[in-house]
Amino acid sequence: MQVILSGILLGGIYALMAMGLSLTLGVMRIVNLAHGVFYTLGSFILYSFMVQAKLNPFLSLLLIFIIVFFAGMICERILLRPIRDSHMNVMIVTFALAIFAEQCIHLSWGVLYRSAPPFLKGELQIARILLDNQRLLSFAIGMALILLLVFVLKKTTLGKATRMVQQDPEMAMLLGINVDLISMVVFAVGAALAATAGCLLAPLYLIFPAMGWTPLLVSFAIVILGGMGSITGTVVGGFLFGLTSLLTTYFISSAMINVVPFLAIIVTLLIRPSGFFGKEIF
Amino acid sequence: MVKKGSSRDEGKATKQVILFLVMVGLAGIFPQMYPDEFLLHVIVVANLLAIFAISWDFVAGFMGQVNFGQAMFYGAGAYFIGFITKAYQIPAGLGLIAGGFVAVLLSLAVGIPCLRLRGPYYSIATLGFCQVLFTLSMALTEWTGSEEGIRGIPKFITSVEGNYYFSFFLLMFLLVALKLLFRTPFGIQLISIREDERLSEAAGINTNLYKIIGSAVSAFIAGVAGAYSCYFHSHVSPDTLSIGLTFSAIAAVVFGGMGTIWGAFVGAYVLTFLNEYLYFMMEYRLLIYPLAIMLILLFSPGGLLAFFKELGKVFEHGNATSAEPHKEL
Amino acid sequence: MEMLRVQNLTKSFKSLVAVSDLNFVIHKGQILGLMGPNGSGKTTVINLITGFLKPDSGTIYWQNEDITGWGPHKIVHKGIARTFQQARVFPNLSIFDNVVVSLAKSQGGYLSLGIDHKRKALDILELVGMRTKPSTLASQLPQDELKKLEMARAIGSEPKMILLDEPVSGLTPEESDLIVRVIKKLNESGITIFVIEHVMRMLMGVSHRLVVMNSGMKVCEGKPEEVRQNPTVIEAYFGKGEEGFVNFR
Repeated sequence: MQVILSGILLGGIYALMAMGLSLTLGVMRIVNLAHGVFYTLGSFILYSFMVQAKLNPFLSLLLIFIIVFFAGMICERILLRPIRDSHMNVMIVTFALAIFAEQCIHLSWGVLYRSAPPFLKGELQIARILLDNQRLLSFAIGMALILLLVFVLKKTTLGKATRMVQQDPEMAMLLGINVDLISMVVFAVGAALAATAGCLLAPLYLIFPAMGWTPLLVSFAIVILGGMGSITGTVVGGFLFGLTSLLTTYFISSAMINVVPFLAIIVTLLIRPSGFFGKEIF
Repeated sequence: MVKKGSSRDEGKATKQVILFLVMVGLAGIFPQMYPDEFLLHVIVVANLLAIFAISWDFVAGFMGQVNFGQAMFYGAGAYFIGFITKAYQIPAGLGLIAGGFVAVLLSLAVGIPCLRLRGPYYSIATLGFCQVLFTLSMALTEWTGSEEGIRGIPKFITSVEGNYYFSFFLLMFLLVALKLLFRTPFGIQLISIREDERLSEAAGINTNLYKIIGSAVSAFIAGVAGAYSCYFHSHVSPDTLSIGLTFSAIAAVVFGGMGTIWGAFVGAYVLTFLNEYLYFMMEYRLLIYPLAIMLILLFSPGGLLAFFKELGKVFEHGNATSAEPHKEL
Repeated sequence: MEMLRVQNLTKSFKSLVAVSDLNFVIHKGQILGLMGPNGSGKTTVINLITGFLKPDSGTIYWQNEDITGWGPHKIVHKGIARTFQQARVFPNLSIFDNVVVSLAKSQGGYLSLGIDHKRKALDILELVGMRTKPSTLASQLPQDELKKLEMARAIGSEPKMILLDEPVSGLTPEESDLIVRVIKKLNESGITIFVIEHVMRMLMGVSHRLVVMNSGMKVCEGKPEEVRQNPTVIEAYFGKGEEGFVNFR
């Protein structure tokens, strides 16, 4: 039972990261293979902030969001805008970016497995279930961010403009929406969300430079499973993933934890190449 | 009466053959001129990468199937040799070919289900498959030795010079075979799938079948390369299934120029040599591959070959544009 | 002998009904023309027959076999070839290679042993009257040569029937006469032809029978002389402000 609950808590954060991907995928119609490396970046910077600079965790979170947001904007402007038309080139460039950034992280921090300290110590006990406070807190923050994101998308002008670009970029352009700006912001938000997910999971799991690939594939799996543009789908998918990942760890072995999401993507793509909830975009 | 070739085209073909023969000749006498073991070793590594990169270009550049998990075929060949030689003594030639076929089987297992996937979905799925195999190779320590891999595999050519010649032999054979392939109707039809898949279908091509065959050929090449690498390094590890490996092939091809076989060759050489000889940069060397890719894609998406072609045009015509006027509507 | 039978064919796109309950038959060796104003559903009919679209309802029979919903390459293998309204070729391949691509069906095995593909491709190019050198890139062709290449590609698969989608649109009268000659030559060699065209003079001149469509439905069928007099047909054209019987260019 504990495993199940932990799984759901983990899932919430996966869902957060997946939403970031869903945005770039849906609005910009590009496949961002660097999504995982932003996650990694978030974890490592958090480590540095908390361990080396001894900063307050919440402050760190905020700072990291802002830093990665701007980093994302720069990346989009320099790397992606010139080649946005070719899907293949975008995939290759973001792939290259991911490997480049991973190497930079490797060089700056070294390859040792580390762990960030928890924001909150202690545990909560309900009946016979033991849950760390950290897990609960991470989950809470994650969910809060998702709700915030949904709010922004549904109620604010920026959000509405973004949704219009997602539905019909040409129409949006004709209506005077600055599609380039929206693209830049969307990419930046996606990156920042991935980084935040990295921060939220850093205290719970080991940090190492190549850690981003699994979350990348998990995000894709969730987006594909849950369907593009469907918020419910993404969240549900996230929970499912968290659950199956932890169940795998529990019943099989932790080394196999990666196999599940990958197999899931494969199975989903085979059954329903456009996911279960959403619509096909390519 | 409509004639196919013109003397100009035939001239081009002859030029290519001469260039090729010159290359073979140079490659042949090179070790006598520079018997530097380290250099020869680097060349073998470059040749291996070139072969692997060509296998990726074959499906991605010529058929439009951007496979982000190409390393799984290389690794399949490599691990096959690793497992087999622990148990049996088999002649190396057989080992190489068998390694290739193991990769082909894998490509069928992966490729057939992935047929229905379009573009990016195909790329993500192949990335996923490769990662599964990577994870398995790290996790199943008993069989694969996890990170350490399997060591002490008997080499079938012990001298570096021998490996130099053999790797060149493989590479040249591949280059010639592919050049010939793309002159046959089958080869042209393969390319047409990349150009306009719907139109190919309208012309009567069973695109699914062709894709499977193309995938299998590419996997075979990668598998043989992987198998050979296992013999050469006397060692196989999860690196042969890693994302980094796939990336090096992609980097070589994109850098040199996709969809041209020479591009993969040139790219592989440039990147391998940069990697080995920029020792003074220490670990920062590893940043070169990705940086090179990003720069190339931004400034000359057709790769180095396209860049030189453009340069060549500038020198040929000065400022004038192409000489032949088009017939206007 | 009946080659193609289209029965109750219907296809809609969201709220637009493109083809509605269409029925017609083509006999062996016939040239059947399909005419109708823009948007009357003509190209959709070709797309449905050749497997580029699946019909919502209705059946398509080819030599008494139900081929409804089959994929494009299977249909080509059955002996039906098509051309496209906007001449669709492989722009980065040479003219010669463009034709070679279409030889897939006739080459039997995939490694082209047993056929002289060079000879075949050159013969086809000669048949359609291609003047440009075969090694030229298809992207450099003018409109009339493009149309010829389209037809060459269709001929390459050794079809029993060819569906031509506006084979002379955008051509001068002299150029379109050339194409008509090729069509007649093909028909004389036994190939059944289905032509969609806008240019009345050409269609009337080449077809044995005509089917007229308007807004997705068949409004009239018969020999060219009969159709020309039919009031519904005249209304369909002039009513929509079309050029009707006037030739472009």
